[in-house]
Amino acid sequence: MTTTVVKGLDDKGQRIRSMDFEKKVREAAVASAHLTLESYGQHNIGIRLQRPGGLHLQIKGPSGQRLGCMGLPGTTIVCEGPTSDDVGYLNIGAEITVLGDATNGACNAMANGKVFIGGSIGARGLTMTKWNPDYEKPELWILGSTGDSFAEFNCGGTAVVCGIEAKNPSNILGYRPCVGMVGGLIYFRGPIDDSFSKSNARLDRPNDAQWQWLIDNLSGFLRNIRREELFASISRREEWQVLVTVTPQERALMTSGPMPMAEYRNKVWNKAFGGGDPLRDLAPGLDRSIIDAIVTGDLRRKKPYWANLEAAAPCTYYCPIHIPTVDRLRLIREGRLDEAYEMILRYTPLPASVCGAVCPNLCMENCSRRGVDAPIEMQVLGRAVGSHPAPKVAEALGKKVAVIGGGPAGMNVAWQLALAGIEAHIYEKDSQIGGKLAQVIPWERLSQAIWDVEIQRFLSMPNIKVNLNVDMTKELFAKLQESYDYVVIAVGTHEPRRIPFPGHERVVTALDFLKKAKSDMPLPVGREVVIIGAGNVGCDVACEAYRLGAEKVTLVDIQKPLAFGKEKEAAEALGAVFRWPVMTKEVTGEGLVMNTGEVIPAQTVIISIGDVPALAFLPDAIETVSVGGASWITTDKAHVTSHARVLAVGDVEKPGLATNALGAGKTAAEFIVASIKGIEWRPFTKQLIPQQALTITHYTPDIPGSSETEQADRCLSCAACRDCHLCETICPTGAISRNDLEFGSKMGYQFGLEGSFEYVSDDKKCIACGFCAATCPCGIWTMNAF
Amino acid sequence: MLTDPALDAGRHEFNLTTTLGRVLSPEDFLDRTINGGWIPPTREIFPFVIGSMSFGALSPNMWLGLLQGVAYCNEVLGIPVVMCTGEGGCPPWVLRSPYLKYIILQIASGYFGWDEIIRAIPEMQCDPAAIEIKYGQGAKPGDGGLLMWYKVSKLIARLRGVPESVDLPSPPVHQTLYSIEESVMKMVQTMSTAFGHKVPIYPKISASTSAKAVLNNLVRNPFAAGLLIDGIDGGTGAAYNISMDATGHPVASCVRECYLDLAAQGKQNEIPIFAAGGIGKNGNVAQNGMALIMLGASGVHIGKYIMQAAAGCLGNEKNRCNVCNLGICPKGITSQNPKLYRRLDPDLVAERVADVFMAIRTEVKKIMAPLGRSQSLPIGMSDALGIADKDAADLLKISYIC
Repeated sequence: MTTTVVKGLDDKGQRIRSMDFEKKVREAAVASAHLTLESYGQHNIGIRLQRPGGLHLQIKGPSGQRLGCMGLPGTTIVCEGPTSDDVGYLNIGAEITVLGDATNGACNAMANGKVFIGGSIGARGLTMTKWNPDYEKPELWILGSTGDSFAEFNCGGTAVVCGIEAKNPSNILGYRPCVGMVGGLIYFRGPIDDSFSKSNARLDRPNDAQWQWLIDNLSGFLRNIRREELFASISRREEWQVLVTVTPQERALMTSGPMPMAEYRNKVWNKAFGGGDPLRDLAPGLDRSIIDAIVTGDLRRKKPYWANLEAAAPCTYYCPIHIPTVDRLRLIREGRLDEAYEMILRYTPLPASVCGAVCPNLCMENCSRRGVDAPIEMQVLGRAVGSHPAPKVAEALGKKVAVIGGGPAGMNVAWQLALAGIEAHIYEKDSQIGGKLAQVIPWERLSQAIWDVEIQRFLSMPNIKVNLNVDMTKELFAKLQESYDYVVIAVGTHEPRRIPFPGHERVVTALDFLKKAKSDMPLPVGREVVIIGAGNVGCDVACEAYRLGAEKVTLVDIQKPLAFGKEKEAAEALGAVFRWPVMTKEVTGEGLVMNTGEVIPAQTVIISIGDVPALAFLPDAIETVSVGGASWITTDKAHVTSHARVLAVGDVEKPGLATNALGAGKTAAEFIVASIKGIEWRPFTKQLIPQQALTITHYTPDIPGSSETEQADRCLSCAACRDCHLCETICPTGAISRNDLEFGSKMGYQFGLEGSFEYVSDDKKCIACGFCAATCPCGIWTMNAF
Repeated sequence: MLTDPALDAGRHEFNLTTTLGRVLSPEDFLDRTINGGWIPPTREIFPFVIGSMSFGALSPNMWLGLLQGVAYCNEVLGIPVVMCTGEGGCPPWVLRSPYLKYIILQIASGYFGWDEIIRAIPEMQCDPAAIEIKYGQGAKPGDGGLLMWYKVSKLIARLRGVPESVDLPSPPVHQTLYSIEESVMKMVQTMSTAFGHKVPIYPKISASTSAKAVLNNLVRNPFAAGLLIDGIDGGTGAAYNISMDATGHPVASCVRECYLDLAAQGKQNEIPIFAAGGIGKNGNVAQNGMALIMLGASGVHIGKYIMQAAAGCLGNEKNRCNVCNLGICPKGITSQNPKLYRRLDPDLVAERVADVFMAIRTEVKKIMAPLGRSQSLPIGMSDALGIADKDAADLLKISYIC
């Protein structure tokens, strides 16, 4: 066997560069199977070198880094002395023996082959190794100890660390070995610290197969490093341990993660606060346990409330008589027409004349149906009552009341008292009852046929006695106070206001003019007419003037005319003209002379600036208040004057519509009835239902028919449950149900005509979603804070 | 980074704590160690602190859930997280529990709950982590804490020592203090004395152009343990829009200016600066926090991020329901109504706190490892920062890269 020598120093004794040295070695390996390399610190000695049939390299001289890197099978390398970093780097089959120490990085990325170290190694040995199953596992044998970070990310290498002449005898595997080790096995003989990666490696004793392998191969190692004498002393099984790779499956079972939070809470957290909840001193009994986002019962923050009939519909609220039109329309829908008529007649004796004709229908100005298409047609409803007979009166109570004045105010006082079983005696100045409705309102606005029928019905009412053509005096008043339980003053305003400008004697008052126009002897009217005062009464005057022959009517006012509605439309339709501002200086035979000097020609000048009460008969004890230069009787909410048994209703206390007068009359009568019966009187206190509470989108606009039934179907039934079942249907948890009631709701109007049913919500099912309140068309269901 | 090899963020061992407390100069430290003298107390804490959100602003389930999560991080995960109480005091049983060491007690112009704290001092099982003296907060400079009457429930009223259902607008200044310099001197010394000089005391201020002046005062104060600067992006449970949106100072430039000032005096290792105000508001909390640390902060406080990540707050930088101040929080985080806060499970809050800090820990390692650092945070290591805006780069004295 020829041995070829390759020198690492040149002729001059200079170190040959690693690159050149490697070329020489490679050439020599072609020629010879046995090389002696007199190296001088060259790197990469034996890199990727092999020869068919085998190659042996004997290194005599200092070895550089990466001895035997990329070593190939069949190649053996013996280094007679220590070697530097990275011996066996990427070794894929060579057998390398180092007769001394190796430094850092030994066997990094080795996949096959064996490395025998006759001493100790440095840090990061046996890292990133591989095991390709087509080849045998790579092996690293170490006589002494390893440095830190041994076997990091070891994937398949086997290591044997004997602990003889260890560099660090108290810890022969260094600090933190096996971090990330996923394959391979480490045999070691000697003490280690506890820093090996517990999630990657498991400490154990070699099993029989492992021990057999070690013993089989140990002598080969010792022979290579020329220390065969050590065999006996290092082959005692009890001195050996292994670090075994933890498989992913084992790892999954081993570490279920850190302590579960619930366990931490029970074992540690809860115990730290003196044996109880940490807030128990600040808030005794506070329950902080977990609840769902959707809850029922007491955990809800809102609760639905069925507020049937607790608020007032706009029609009821705004009507001065508080007629519950919603109720009336419900009765019509239920087919109870007679009860519907009777209900109306319990509120007013003049439904056709007032509701159906002259009233501007305040009820319908705010009707919720406006939001859908148009309000209920009150005039249809009003006139339908027409000739329906009056309701039956109650049992006589043996009391009587004097009513001074037979206008709408006085009429309703008498009407209500009569229904309650109390005698009402009317004392009327004129030759007919009806006040201004009879005397002054033009027939165009209030049909005589309708009026006569209602008066007829009124006069037929038991308990009502009418005295006509009575002039009231102080003496007569005093007598009435003595002989009646109560006296009600309802004289209205029949004293026209006048302005004493020059020529005022030529001027006719509107009151006078209209009264005479309605009688058999109307006043003559010139071709040109001027009316001072452009309110609704002025418009009535204008219409009557046209009817009586005028051709040109001018209404003048010092401020913007207050006329509105039907009266204004009627006057304008006839050609009346409005002028303002106009200040009157005087009235002459030519007409009206303005402050500016302009003359408005007129043969007839009429003044229509309002009327005031004529109170000559009033005893001094009854207080009055002076407003706008006239005296009005002061009253409280029940229309009682400063004298407990004297009441005043209508224009005499405060000017208003005929409807206001009817309302005042009813309230006063109710007070008297309550006082007589000894029960508490309460005024109308219901709050108006807010529009937002209703859900009008349920209704579709339509073209209404003109029958009562068709109108009744359109009613939104504000604040009164329409029994539509929508809430019951929409409730997502089925919490709402409907019950029939034996007795009607206490919240209804007074006649026991309210519906006898209720809707209820089950607290155990309701989740306070608010769908019922949102969908309820009539605004009955509300969500209250809870 | 080739000249300095990266460490292995997954396998290497890291020490990620920062020092909260006054660090003496080497000469002073040696002198006092040899000759006897007071060594100021320090704490090694995780550099991401749960910022002050008061017991009152937060519901009991949320506040205790956070504390439970913090305790778990310390005791089970080994992450030394601390949290700050906010202005509303601390429940007496918590003051007497072993968890007090994870708590920074805040004292502010409202002084809520401090009677109970003083009462508890002799019975404390351990010292609190620190005392934070709040002079201002970044969300609303010039305003104090605001807890509206909706949230002053019986429980909150009892802890705070006020009647139920009254508005609690804390004054913007501590009423016996007349200048910021004087405030700092008086209160830091008093607080330190109250706790036997064993607890770090530091003030919290809104970021502003005068932050540097405050810091220089603190440098001369032997008791001051640091400075927390809260920037304009800070969150709050209640504030006027104008204060929130229109007043304040961004935290990054303020912290940087203060740090460079300290570095010019050679004091940058002695008094830590902490930064707060919107860190992680868009989710990238580790990145934001580490950027501020590289600008010179020793650590950061996070509030909005914790609300979102730990409790599932419905709000984020794009939009918010904004009903915290009304006490009707639908998740039960900022409501005092038990019917709402019982929707929030403290165990789940604690779990998510643990998740948050495990995630931050991993990401911080991923940022530090490439810098070749594992044993100390890269405080002030501004050569590791770059920004694509030349003006900002010039102002912050970091690299302009694009």
